[in-house]
Amino acid sequence: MCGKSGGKKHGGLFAKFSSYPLVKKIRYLFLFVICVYLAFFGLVYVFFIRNNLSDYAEKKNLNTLSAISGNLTSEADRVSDMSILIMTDDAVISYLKSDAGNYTKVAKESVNTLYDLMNVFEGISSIYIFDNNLNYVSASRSVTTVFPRKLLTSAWSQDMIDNAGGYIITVNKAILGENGNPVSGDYMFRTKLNEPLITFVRVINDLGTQKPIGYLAVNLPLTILGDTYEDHVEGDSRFGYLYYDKYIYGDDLTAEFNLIPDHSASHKQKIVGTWGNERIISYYRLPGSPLTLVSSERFYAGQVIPTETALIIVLMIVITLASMLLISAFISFYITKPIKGLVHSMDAVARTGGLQKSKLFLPDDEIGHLKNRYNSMLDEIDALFKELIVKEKRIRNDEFRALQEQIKPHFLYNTLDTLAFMASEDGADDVYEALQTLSNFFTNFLSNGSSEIPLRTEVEVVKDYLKLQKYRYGDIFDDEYVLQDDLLDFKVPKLILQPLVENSLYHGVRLKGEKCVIRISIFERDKVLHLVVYDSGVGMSKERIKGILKADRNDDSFGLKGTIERIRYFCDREDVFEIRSEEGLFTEVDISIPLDGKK
Amino acid sequence: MYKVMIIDDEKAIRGLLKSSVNWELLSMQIAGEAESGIEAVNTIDEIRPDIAFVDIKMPFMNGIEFSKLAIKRYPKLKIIILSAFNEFEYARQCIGIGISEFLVKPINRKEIQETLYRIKTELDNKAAENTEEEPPVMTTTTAEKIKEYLNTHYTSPDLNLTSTAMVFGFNSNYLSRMFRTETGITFCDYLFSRRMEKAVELAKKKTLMYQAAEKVGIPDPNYFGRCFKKYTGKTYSEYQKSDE
Repeated sequence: MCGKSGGKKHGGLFAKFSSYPLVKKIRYLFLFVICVYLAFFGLVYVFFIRNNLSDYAEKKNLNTLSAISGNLTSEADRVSDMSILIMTDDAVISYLKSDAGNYTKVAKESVNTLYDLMNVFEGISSIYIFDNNLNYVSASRSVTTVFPRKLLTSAWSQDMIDNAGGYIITVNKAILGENGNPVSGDYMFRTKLNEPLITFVRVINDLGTQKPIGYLAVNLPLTILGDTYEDHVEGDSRFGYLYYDKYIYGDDLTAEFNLIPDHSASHKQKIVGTWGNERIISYYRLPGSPLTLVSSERFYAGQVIPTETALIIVLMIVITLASMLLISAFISFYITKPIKGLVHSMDAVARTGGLQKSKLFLPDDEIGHLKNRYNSMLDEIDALFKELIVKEKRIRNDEFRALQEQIKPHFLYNTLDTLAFMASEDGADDVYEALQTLSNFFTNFLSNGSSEIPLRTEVEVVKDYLKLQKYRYGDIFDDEYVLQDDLLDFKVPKLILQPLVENSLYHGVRLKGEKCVIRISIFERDKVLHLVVYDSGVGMSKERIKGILKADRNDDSFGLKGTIERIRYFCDREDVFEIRSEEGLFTEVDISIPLDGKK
Repeated sequence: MYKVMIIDDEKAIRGLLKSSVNWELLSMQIAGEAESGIEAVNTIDEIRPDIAFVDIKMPFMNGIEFSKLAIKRYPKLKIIILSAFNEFEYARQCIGIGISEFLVKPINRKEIQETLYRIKTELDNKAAENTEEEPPVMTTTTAEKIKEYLNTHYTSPDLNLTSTAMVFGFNSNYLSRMFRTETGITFCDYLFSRRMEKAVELAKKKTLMYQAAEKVGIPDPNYFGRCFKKYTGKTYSEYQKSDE
């Protein structure tokens, strides 16, 4: 697979892959499959799991923010509950309607009411009630300075009036100079310790006419903002409040807030940071107030993927890898190893030429069948070889028989006898002698058709043969015989000496032009019978000897080669002769036949 | 009278041929014999036969090789090949080289006589048209050149009267005659003595006879042996012994 896709790009790669051994191919294939697996998991994570994860994380983050916002709202509700009690208080209403000033009885009663309520509602710093002339009564836990004019001249004043009885939330925070006096900041109330305050202000309407009769302001310490999110701080999540988009409380997240490009929506989230170190940044505008909640928390997979799921994924990968290894081992054990073994034993056959069968132990599957077929094929070849050898032997036998049957010996013997008689009658003694020799020669030569004859008879054939040749060619050689008597009854294939002698005569003696010696020696040495034909003819070069051993049926020198073949067949071994020669001096053919104890 | 030459390595066969035909009756005569192709090549220029019996199987130069050479030199020569019954392989090579007749051994007298009669008739018919042309004049300097040529080429077995005549552009009869006139010795004798001088030299160097035979251009050691004896009066081995 990976080879194919690569092959289109680089011509050699596919060819290279194809040339790898099977085992290596499978390994590369598995490697490729594992890569595909990992890539698949990666893609699934990026496109599905990660998206789900971030959706989930954002939703969770939003829930947190709205819960925090809810906390602040419930604080506001508490203040609202309290303010209703104030506004329905008779003393307070009387004070506001009376225009009586601060030192009247109703003023005192109003202050008492305020203190009572402060005791009931915890965490309140101070409460102020202004009439339309900005006279006021107040209850306070600490020394607080008030600037009544700011009630109607601040940035939020118009909002308060427009809200017509609903409260709005403002923040008092003075920025102090070196001498301890405030130099800037938006504030109406200021405590002696200059703690920032959060102030709930509203217009008080007359219950009957619904006309404004005064104003109520409730101050709480700014730390109540911290109380709203303290339950949600976990890990390294951070929260902070902005007032008119400026830092006011908690962690200073102005920079993070500015990372979010558009602030028009009531809330927004964004994931920032690099892989593995990502954070969700979000802001949440609190309804009915210039306050904005900003958060920054870490975003990581473990936050949302349950441990069990992760474990299952890892386990699946491990199981997949393990099963691949298992398949690899399986293929190696059942396919590649047996094939390798089979190839090895085939190679052995090709190398040695012997038909030894494969001895591998293989299971009874396709490859096992392959081995069995291969072995039975070898059997068949072996059988064919044997059959061929038997056939060849039979053909040779038949040829020999046919050759012998061509000659009708009786007629020949009788004629030769008649001729001998005629010669003897006419006193031609040399003709008589020659005819007798010929007659003898034929008798021994044919030997009644037996294929093996005693050495003695073979020697007689040679003697007669040489005598007859002398008649033909004149006195060109002397024949000598060195015979070990006790060997002469040993039976040998017919006509194994005569062709050697003939070879000596025609290829050694006659070419020399001088009188030569042909010597036949028969002796035993180390339980091996040696038949040696020596001639002092022209000898043979090494090339000539080689040529003779390669001669075929139609060549002059086939007699020697054919004889050697017959002796090999008789002895059932290859090493049956030796040719020694020196050019111009002699040739000696030495036939050796193992005696094996018989004589 | 037609001249007949018998070339066979078996003395008995040659004798049988001679005695089985009444040559006078066919107006033929045995002009010469040779034991091998080599010998025949060397003597044919002296014998100049009209008819030749050639054994197909002989050592050193077989009947076919000899016939090819002989017909090239004497296109009018009638050749009768003698072959044993199992020598068909050789016999096949005879086709197309100009051999007149083909006889199978053992020799049958009647067959030989019929064959010879057939050939005699052919020769008689051709005798009438036979004329010979005379080539350019040969001078003493040419004879010297021929001697020089023989001195440098005598070791080649292919060297003989006809081949030399061809090299110098003469008719071989003319060359033979003029060589004798100019030098006082026959061409064949001159070549023979050149070869034998070399043979004596080789004998003194203890060269084996069959090797010496090859070196002087007479690759048949049997014929070489006879030549050597004729030249020195001793056989090769006797000569070597006496030289010691």
